[in-house]
Formats: sequence, structure tokens, C-alpha cells
Amino acid sequence: MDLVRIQKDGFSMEEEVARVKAAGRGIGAVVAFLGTARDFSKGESITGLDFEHYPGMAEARLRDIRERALKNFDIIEMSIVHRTGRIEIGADIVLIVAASAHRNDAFMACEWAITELKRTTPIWKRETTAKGDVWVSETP
Amino acid sequence: MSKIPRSLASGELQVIYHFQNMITVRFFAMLKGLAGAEEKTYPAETPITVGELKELLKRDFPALRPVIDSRSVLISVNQEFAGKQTLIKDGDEVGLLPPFSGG
Repeated sequence: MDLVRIQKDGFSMEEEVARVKAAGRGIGAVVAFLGTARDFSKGESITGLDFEHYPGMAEARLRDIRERALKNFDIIEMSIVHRTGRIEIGADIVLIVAASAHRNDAFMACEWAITELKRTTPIWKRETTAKGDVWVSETP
Repeated sequence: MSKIPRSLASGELQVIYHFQNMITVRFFAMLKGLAGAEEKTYPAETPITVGELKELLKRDFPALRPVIDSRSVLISVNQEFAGKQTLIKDGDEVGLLPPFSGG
């Protein structure tokens, strides 16, 4: 299975970590960022989320983030999985897993990758509130 | 319009004419609602710049004027980020991308 994916279905954190760890026996640290759906936004109560992406372009941006992370950080492997469609409160949205020989490189690469994802990947979130569905116009 | 020789089997030249000459603009997320459409095609006999296309979109979709003028909307051409001077040609796909909110 591809290390970079956008999918409707949920994912298993354990399986993704295993997939990344399979990259080499020199791995001594794995850092994972898991983004989940919270029940509030800007003081409003949220009852669900919907994600839309630009098919093709969004996947290409995520592949580019992984390739730049592998080039610019001392990491051994990285995976990025983002879900699309309806996501219930408490459910998983995005997972980034970075593996390196020593922990600091994986921490830095993982933090950089999620920031870069939010900045450059054509994915959009719509929140379901008591007042109706609202597109989130800017990443906080 | 391009001519493509298709077959000489019957002894005479058969020609297929392609009348594509279109660019497709795709709207995403809240822009779909503002435009009231998912996409819009424009004839493209000659290439136009992203800046020129923005003026066409503002003319045809008044509700998009504030967001296009605010510069918060990014433009892609064939799924790559584009600048104001990027040329858009026959067959190209343009994306109108509101601020991202993934993650």
C-alpha cells in the first residue's frame, strides 16, 4: 500500500507505523502526528466534519511533502494519510508518521510536514454547526 | 484546431478535426457555492494569462469578485500552482482554490 494516500476509509495507526518501520532496521525512533475531529471551533459547537480535496493535485502535494522531508531531514521514512468525506467527532482525520535513527530528526520532520500540509495541500474542511454547514476559510 | 491523418487504407486521406479549444475552470469548496457551479469552460483560440482569466471570472460570476480581489484565492494550472502571468492554453485545467483547511 502507498505510503502517501487520501482515502474515505479510516486507517490503523498501528498498521501505518509498521509500514514505516519496515523501511529499515536502522530506525530507532518513530514519531506520529494524529489529527482528530474536535467538537468545537471558534467558540461554536461542532457536530461533524466534511473534507473535500482536489483529486490528483492534493495527492501530488502530499507526495512532494514526503519527498522534501526525506531530502531535508535526517529521516529514514515518512507516511502521510489524510481522510476525505464525512468525519464524525472524535474520529481520525490525518496521520503523519516519521521514522529516524534518533528521535529529534523524526520530531522535527513530523512537525514540519503537518505545517506544510496545512499550508500547501488543496484540502478543505466544512464544519457542521447548529447554524448549518460552514466552510472553514482559513487554517488557524 | 489540429488535423490528424487517420488512415490511408482506402487510398484517400481521411482527416479528423479536433474542436477542443477549451479551457476548464474548476471551483472548489465554498467557491462552488458562490459560483453556483462546479466548473465553467471558456473558448481558448489563443492562450490567455491567469490575470486575464480572473477578469473573465469576475465578469461571469459577480459573487466571486470579492474573493478573487482579496488574493486569498490561489490558482492552479494543470494542478500546479500558477502566477498572474502564467499562460493558459487549449485543453488546460484551471483550479480556483480557496484557503486550505486540511489537517
